[in-house]
Amino acid sequence: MTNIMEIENLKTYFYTEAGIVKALDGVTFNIEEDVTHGLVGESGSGKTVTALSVLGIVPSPGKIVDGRVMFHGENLVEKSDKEMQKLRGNKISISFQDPSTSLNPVFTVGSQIQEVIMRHQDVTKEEAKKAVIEILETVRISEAEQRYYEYPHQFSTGMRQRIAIARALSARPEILFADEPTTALDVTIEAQVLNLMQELQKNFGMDLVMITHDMGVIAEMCKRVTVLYAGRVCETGDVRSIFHEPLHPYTTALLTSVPSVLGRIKRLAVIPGTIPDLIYPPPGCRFHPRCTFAKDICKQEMPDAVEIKKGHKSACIRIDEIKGELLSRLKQAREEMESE
Amino acid sequence: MSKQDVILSVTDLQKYFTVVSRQIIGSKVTGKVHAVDHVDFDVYRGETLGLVGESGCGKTTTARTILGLTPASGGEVLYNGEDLLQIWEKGSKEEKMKYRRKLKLVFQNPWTSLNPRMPVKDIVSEGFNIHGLVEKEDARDRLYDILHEVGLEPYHAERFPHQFSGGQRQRIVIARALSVDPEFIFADEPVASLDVSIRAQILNLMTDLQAKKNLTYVYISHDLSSVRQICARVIVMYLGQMVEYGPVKAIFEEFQHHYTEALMKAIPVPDPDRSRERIVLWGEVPSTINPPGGCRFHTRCPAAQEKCSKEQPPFTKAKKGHYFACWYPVA
Repeated sequence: MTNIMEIENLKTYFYTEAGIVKALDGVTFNIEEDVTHGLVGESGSGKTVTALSVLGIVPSPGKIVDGRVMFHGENLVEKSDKEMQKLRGNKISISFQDPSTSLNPVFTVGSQIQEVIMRHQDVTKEEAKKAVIEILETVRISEAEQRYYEYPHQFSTGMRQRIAIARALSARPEILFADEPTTALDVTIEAQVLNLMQELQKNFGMDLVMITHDMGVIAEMCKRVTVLYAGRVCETGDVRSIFHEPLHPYTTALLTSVPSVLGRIKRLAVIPGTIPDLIYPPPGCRFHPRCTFAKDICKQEMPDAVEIKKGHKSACIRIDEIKGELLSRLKQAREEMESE
Repeated sequence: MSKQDVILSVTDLQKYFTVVSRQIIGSKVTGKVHAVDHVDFDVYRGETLGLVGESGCGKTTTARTILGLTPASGGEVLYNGEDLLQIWEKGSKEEKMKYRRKLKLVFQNPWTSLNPRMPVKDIVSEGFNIHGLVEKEDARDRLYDILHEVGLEPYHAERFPHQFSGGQRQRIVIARALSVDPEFIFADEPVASLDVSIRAQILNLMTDLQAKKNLTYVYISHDLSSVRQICARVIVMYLGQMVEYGPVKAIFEEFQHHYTEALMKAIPVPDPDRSRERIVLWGEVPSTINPPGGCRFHTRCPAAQEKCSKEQPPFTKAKKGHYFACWYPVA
């Protein structure tokens, strides 16, 4: 497997009045070619900031302070704004979480997609318009020719999300970062969007990075997964390996604390406490204040993810000692679901 | 189930909103939104009943109508045998107060349902002060007891809502509801706006409080996984009507209505080895102003036949306690 993108030790800090928010503090993972990659984590874990950093659109007062993003042999972090503009939309694209705020309310949806096409391709207005209608049809907007002239508020939430995806795809990027594309959608609409994304991925041959907090979406869509917590990578590996043999207490906690449609767990595991303040992140492993396995050593060193088994890296120092316990907790929860 | 004690009995509940369009002079009623259309169900004492469906299907309006927050257009709601809708309409102040104390609502979004200018102590103690449930000198003890029950500390009492995280705010919302010793709680998407690692805390808290205080819950949600976790029975609603109801396991695994099937098969399953056939309903939810005739789901139903657009299907028994309204059921 070749990597299409390699993210190394990426650090993005926000220089706020209250202090420096270390939103990403040394994030390292690879995105393989032709494999859907999942980025999981709660709010504040750095999923979105990772995508924004890769695209070079970290909002002020944020700055990439260190690290590399390698794409086709080039380091994107070092590129100028002008150079990045040429790549954005064209090679790397993003669809934002909330289409009701990411689409401009005062322009027609047609013109918003057309803008992307005209910026990257040498086409006339008529040709661009034709391409817009075509892509609207691909995302199953019916009567695309009339709807080209309509404004975002005239569409339902599910349709708006599909339009946002259409816009992100309109210049045929190689990688699409989809930021929580189905959060806040009803399950039936979620199914529409997920189906569509799989279809588009097949037809366009692009690589997809799914950013989500929903383990269900990860399981259904992704082949590789990276779990983020408080701006650090907890573990990264193959989806089946992550679900069946998680190598980090945080992942196990996520898998046993979230209700599942498969059955009832006798008592949901609770991750005590809340996500840390990233201005003063806890020393050592970021998860240790909430981790039931934490020992003194966890407070001392900030661990990097190292390969534990083939293709599966974990950033837990004590993983060899606790592996068995993690597995039995997961098994117990799964058995409860089935025996219900 | 029938031997259990029915605490709330809803019969033929209706709620219509009129659509008014402005004319040059005055205005004219041009239609009505069928928000809740002939809904019947019973809730048993001490159980958790789930109310699920897509946004706009009438889940929240059902709760608001039962609680008298919006007047009903018709139907009957009996709470322990007392006609609630009558009380909301023409009961005395004392009667209304009595039932407002017994039935409480926990709101969806703790960022908007707490008054930002009130400290937690006032938010929580307002209820029992208004209802005169404690003597003045006991008020503080009572406040601390309630905070303790929902997992907050006494020093939190002086703080304001903005000083809390989402999970803690939802605890305050629950504390406010509990402060008047209710019997019955409508929880409207109580965990929808919380982080995934916090949801388990709140769901566990709700389960514990229920066991301790013998509370009855109606849990309103479109998050089917949490419904699976905490509900004993489930009602599935579509466009203001019930389409299927029964024990949680039956609804999730032996569904009969094609809408329930579509919902269940649309949920992403957190297991990479389980590849299920995803049913995708294309097309949008029809308007509730002019809902489709016959079975309301027939415009999007993969199994719809001619009869479905003409006659509304009655409820049919699948097995004990499990009913569905479909002419051509799944199995």
